[in-house]
Amino acid sequence: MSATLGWADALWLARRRTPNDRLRYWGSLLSSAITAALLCTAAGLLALQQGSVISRIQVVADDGTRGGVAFAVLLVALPALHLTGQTWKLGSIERRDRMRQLRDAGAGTDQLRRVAVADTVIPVAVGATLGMILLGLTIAVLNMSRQPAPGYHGVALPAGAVDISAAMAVVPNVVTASWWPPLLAVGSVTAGAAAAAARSVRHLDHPSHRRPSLARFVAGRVAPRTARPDLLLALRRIADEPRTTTRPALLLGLAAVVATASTWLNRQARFVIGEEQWTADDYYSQAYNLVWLATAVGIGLCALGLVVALSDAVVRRRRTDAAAVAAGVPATTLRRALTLQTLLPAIPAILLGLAIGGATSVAFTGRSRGDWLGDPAANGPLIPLPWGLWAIWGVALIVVATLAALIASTALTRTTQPDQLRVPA
Amino acid sequence: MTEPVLSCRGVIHDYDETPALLGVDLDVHEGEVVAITGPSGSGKSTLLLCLAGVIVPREGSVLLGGVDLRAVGERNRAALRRQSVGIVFQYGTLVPELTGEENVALPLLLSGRPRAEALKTASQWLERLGVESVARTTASRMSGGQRQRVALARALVATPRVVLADEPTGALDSVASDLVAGELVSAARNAGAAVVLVTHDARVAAFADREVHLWDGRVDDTDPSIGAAADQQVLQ
Ligand SMILES: Nc1ncnc2c1ncn2[C@@H]1O[C@H](COP(=O)(O)OP(=O)(O)O)[C@@H](O)[C@H]1O
Ligand SMILES: [Mg+2]
Repeated sequence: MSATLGWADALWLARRRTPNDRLRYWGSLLSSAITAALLCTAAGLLALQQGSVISRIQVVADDGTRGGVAFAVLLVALPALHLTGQTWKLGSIERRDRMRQLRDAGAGTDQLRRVAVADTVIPVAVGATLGMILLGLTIAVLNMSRQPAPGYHGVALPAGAVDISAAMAVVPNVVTASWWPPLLAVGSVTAGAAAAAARSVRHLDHPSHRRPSLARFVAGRVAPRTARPDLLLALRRIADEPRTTTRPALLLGLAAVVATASTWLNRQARFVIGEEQWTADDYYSQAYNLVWLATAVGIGLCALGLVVALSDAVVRRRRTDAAAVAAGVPATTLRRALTLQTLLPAIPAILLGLAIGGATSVAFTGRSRGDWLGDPAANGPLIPLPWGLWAIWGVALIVVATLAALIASTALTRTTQPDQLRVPA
Repeated sequence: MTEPVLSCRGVIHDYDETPALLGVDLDVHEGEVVAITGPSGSGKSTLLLCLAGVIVPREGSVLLGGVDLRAVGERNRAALRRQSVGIVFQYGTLVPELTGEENVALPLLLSGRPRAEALKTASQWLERLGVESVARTTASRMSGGQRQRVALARALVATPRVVLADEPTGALDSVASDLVAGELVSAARNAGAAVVLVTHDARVAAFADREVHLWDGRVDDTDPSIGAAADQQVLQ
């Protein structure tokens, strides 16, 4: 029987659906579209030939800063990757059961691998391709919306339309530059998903191989000291499945680093360059707007990944949660536990990110104008630190994490219904 | 005769077209152990969920300590369960990430008891049920039988007025079954709880004061084995 399972049969077996599948397919499709578009944009920027390229956006046009923009786009691709991973994992328990049933019915490891890959690759490949098409369409629309000015082979947007459209205008140069970035983006996203799927059949019987982790260690130490049921539940869940919330927490921390650093660099540059020059030259505001946009998109993707990860955890625990509620554990306790499970790793990560981003960027530029201009004699007055803006970033990031937890906890209403009690273990 | 602690009349329930209960009457008094038996699918688990107020039946009334469960909202029913009902679900469902000790202590912690005291009481109960070895083990790593006994400890720890247990011995050998049934009886005798126990096992049912046999969602009085129970019902 082994080696006779063709791709067609594998596909047929893979498509025997569980209720979560539709959500997983659409989620994988969308998130791999976003990831592939980001990867393609970054690769496209890197593929531009050396030297200056004509673009509305000077940070792209300039050889020296183009790499930085590509790096920023890659940073945004991180939360997109996390989101893709989370959507792909939706319903993984059911799928593991399904794989185990296939194995018990006699399927070999290679065959299981084939089923898992067939199941995964289609939505991801379709999504990534769709991402390329959407990227192309965006460019086409942007190109149509203006009169091409002589000398521009990218897009020149109406002057003044900087913020979002300026960032979008990065895109054209990317695609006109080279044919391989789209292929690379689709190929790497699809291959990555296929590799992850093939790996997933290795742990059918030991799903929770426990790796050491700081969060697990700390939560395991603190849990035996608490008498609050919601806190106890949150800590035990962090110890049990740290990644659900620590990965998003790390990404939020990274966002905090970028946000605080760019806030300082912006303020410092304005002081050094002078308000007049700043407004006169697009270069600075464009650079800053791009960073701002990238940070906002990154945080949004992060929040989405967090919602998906938490909702999946809520759905996975439906039977035991329903039993707990039926036995008298208040639903509010479960809801608070979910919020705490999110915030306990997120708040330290965000605070640490703020501290690192602030400290390193200030250390990098120095605090006076003289430092920046490289004139040791001109130790001018110190530039005031942007405490207020930094605090706003911190609060905003914590609010985003809290909102994600609250959104995910709305699923509890359905997952704790008594009919969940029926499914035998 | 005193008022029953737990009482239901004409309970009818179905799950989208599947009938589960077709008019069940039952009274359980303080200190009494009632065994509910019957074939699989006869509605035993559904009846237990109705008695606990987890499900509000489509028709009929359930009175818990004189309170009509239909008349109070879900929030109050949950509070009522927390204060006066101990439940063991089929398969002994626990909170999987908590240790045995913490699972048992949970009802006490929820009612605001200090951690040290709650854990001490919890470990005493684990010992009584012969599962002190899993005090520090998370529930997801316990065997089915260990889980069932921890679940019973959790149901009994707050000395509830009503104890409802769905096949609490399903995964146990006969020695452990006797231990569990014995604890249910002593909850009734010593703490005055009203105990309802669903079981397949005639040996466990024999521990009860009376047996109620369910058949296709109805109490089946034609079964000769429940003569004693029928007599008692006539007396009431
Ligand atoms: N959540 C549910 N949804 C639909 N049907 C259910 C559900 N729970 C039980 N049933 C059906 O109701 C009937 C009684 O079930 P149950 O109370 O579990 O019986 P028992 O515990 O005696 O085996 C059965 O026909 C069962 O299939
Ligand atoms: Mg049952």
